[in-house]
Amino acid sequence: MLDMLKTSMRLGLEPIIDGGGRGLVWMFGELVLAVSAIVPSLAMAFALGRVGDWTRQDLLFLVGFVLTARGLAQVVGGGNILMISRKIGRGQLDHNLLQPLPLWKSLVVEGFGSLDLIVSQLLGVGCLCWGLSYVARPEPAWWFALIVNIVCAAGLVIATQYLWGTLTFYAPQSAEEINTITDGAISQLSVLPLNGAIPFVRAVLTSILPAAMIGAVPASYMLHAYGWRLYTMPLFALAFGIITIVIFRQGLRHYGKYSVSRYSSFGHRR
Amino acid sequence: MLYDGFCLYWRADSKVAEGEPKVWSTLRLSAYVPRSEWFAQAMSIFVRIITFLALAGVWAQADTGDGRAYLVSYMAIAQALGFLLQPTTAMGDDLANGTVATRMLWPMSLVKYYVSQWLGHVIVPSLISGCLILMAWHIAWSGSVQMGRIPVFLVSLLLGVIIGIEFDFIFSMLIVRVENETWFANAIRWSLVAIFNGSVIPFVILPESWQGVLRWQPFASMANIPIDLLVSSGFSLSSLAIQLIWVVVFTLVCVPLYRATWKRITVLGG
Repeated sequence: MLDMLKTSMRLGLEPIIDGGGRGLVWMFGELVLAVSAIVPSLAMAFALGRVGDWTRQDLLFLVGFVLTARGLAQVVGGGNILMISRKIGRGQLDHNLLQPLPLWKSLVVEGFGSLDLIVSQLLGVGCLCWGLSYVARPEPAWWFALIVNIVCAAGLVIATQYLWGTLTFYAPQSAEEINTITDGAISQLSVLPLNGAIPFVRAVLTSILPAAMIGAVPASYMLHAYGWRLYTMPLFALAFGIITIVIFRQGLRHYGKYSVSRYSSFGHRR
Repeated sequence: MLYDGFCLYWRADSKVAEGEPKVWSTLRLSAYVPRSEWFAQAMSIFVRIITFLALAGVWAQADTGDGRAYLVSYMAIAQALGFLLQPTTAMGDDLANGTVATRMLWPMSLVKYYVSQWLGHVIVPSLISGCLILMAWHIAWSGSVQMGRIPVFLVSLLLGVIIGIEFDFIFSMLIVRVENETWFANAIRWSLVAIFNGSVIPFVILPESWQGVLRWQPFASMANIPIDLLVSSGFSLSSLAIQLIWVVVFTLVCVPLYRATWKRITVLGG
């Protein structure tokens, strides 16, 4: 598995390793994308000053937390692994199912090594460190809880994509780009505090589209809670993950029975 | 341009009626939403509404004093107009994959085709999501606009859409020269334009000196200027003048580039 991970990482870095203009363009483009992803959130944090109970420093920590979690999710979710609906909708899941590997392993290997996104990941970690310089607590238990929360938030990003991607098993053409929509929603909504949100929005963002559980809720608990409450989001992520696995397996059974009609008889996508 | 499936929005024959203007028929056919896309469209509209409600909740809590009403109104209009603020026609894709060769055989100007196709594609989702967002804004935040400002706003919006379409054409014709990375270039473009056109970060939250500079760049004419004209209490001829200048500048760039690109495509065979 280690060799496969190394190969996958190397493939991801191919434009940079090959060098030349293409590598530079790629890195520059990644830098632009990464900066443009964080500018709206940082602008909001600095320009607004305060949003309800959230101070500027709290908002900065929230932004850093979310970016780090999403960056971590992208490390294992490169290519279309995080956008699983595209793989399913295009019938490309067959490529993974044909391999002599468990499905989860082939997906991890295929998606691993998004070090070509290292610029955005470093920016996220940088934001997090910046925020931590204001809000961090000295207790080791708090730091442990922080790491657990970040890892679980990354897992929740992946689980959300896979939960919504399961729809593609049943409606391959209609839901092929569903993960594009959910990914955009998560990236935009997870950096927002929940202050002032109407109950319906809170309900949506803490359940079927858990953007708040990826950002605002764990960040809020890290800032203000103690003891077991620091693990509220990890518990939610665990439950959400289990539900996602159950539903995804149901979808796989359906896929095994009916497949996807996106391939023509001579192997090309319709 | 034949779509299988039931016409969601209004009945129309699949054949173009004798004497029917080509622009209207292209627009009408583009507005058809096949049953296979209903779910994706519905999900996209739902996410847009949730995004507005969450953002408005945040802006309404922000420590900006009297500016809150302006920010919420600005956000409501920006989200309601969403699809119109960053026009993306099919020209880029058609140039990249060679479909433009087929389009060139049709008895219709390519500019008219791409504009009417884009408009048909966005007009109905825009109307649905726009109406729902404006309703939510009115109900939750007692939002309203001064009716007297609507004519100026419509003129400004039209100019903004023209600038957006011209920019899309210029970008498509330039970026097609970059082999194999058009999706990457488009991702960068969408990110940057979303920031600089003011639809994500209202310029009013930025320092005054920045606002003055940002107003002059072309992307502000696509979103910030029209929305500001509608929701702010002042009126500025200079805003319309800025938009007119950019329409002229982009036209002067677009026309020779269009001729050169089409000559190249005709010679090289698509």
